[in-house]
Amino acid sequence: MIIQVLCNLFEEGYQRRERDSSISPFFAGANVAFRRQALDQIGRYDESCASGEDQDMWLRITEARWEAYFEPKAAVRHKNRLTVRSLIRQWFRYGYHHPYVTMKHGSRGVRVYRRSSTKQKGAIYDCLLTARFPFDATLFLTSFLLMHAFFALAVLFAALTLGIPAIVMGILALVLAVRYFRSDIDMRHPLQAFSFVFLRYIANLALLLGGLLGGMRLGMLYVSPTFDYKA
Amino acid sequence: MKDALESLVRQSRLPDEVVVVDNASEDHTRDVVVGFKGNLNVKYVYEPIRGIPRARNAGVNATTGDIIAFIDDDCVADEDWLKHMEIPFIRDPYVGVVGGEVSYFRIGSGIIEEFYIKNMNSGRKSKD
Repeated sequence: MIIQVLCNLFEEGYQRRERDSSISPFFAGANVAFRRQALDQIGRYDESCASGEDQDMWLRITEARWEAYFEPKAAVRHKNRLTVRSLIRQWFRYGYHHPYVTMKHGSRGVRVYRRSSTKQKGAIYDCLLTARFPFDATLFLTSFLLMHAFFALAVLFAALTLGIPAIVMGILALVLAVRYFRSDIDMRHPLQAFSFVFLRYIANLALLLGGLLGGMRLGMLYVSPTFDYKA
Repeated sequence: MKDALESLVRQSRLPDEVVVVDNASEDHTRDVVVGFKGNLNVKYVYEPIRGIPRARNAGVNATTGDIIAFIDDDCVADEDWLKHMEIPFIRDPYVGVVGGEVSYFRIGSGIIEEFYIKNMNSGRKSKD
């Protein structure tokens, strides 16, 4: 069992040489450059990856002891033309294809988390538990997952007319839900806040479902790393 | 894609060569590329089988340079993009890969764009 602290490491500098080896970011394919010599050594992009090819390249190039350098001044801007439908599809795809990368790289694959840049530099994100059981399961224990687990338990206990445990589980689910949604809540823009809550929830749900189905396809249990933000 | 190519024309350190991979699109990618021939040493490659890794590999195989930088067709590079991208490679021969920052910027007023801007942009100040 690996305890993974998700960090946003993206300050300029070497990512491999100077960082904790248990934490692996990766570079987005929309803005990355390779030395030809390194590409000739590690090979090309894995054409079996329908998504997650960037994580795969990261793992292979760092495995081959090449240095990875992040230079935020080399900036590109991405234009979004997004709909709710494309958002759901995108996150479902991420989830569906990530088990392949995890399976290909084992525990190193688990450590690569899909977030490459987040809004707060240097912020430490929530602790996740990642477990690999003998029957090849990968589980990211996140507050998104926990709040649903507690909610399910609360419903179960209530159905069994166990009042106190139901209330305790209900409170735990509520606390986690507040924690999960807090960063989206901005009372100056209630409509926008509600939309953000909704969008992040369905994106995570799509990621989770995609991961479960994609894992099943490969004969493994895969619970995706759903994302939280610190308020 | 036109915006992406235009941002390459404006680079302070111009690319030695540009390879555009058309991944089985049905638009006028080839015509757009031809329009840039006067400004960039640009090559058009058609990859009939869809898939991002496949398209990227087709691009790599068509290049001749020692450093290969990738940018997507829905992105726009800052003027000093390539200049900054190249420096770590020159400074240190052990550097095999350099990543840059991808930020999201607003082109409409949709709530989903706002969501992406809030969640995906890093701490750096937005330039738009």
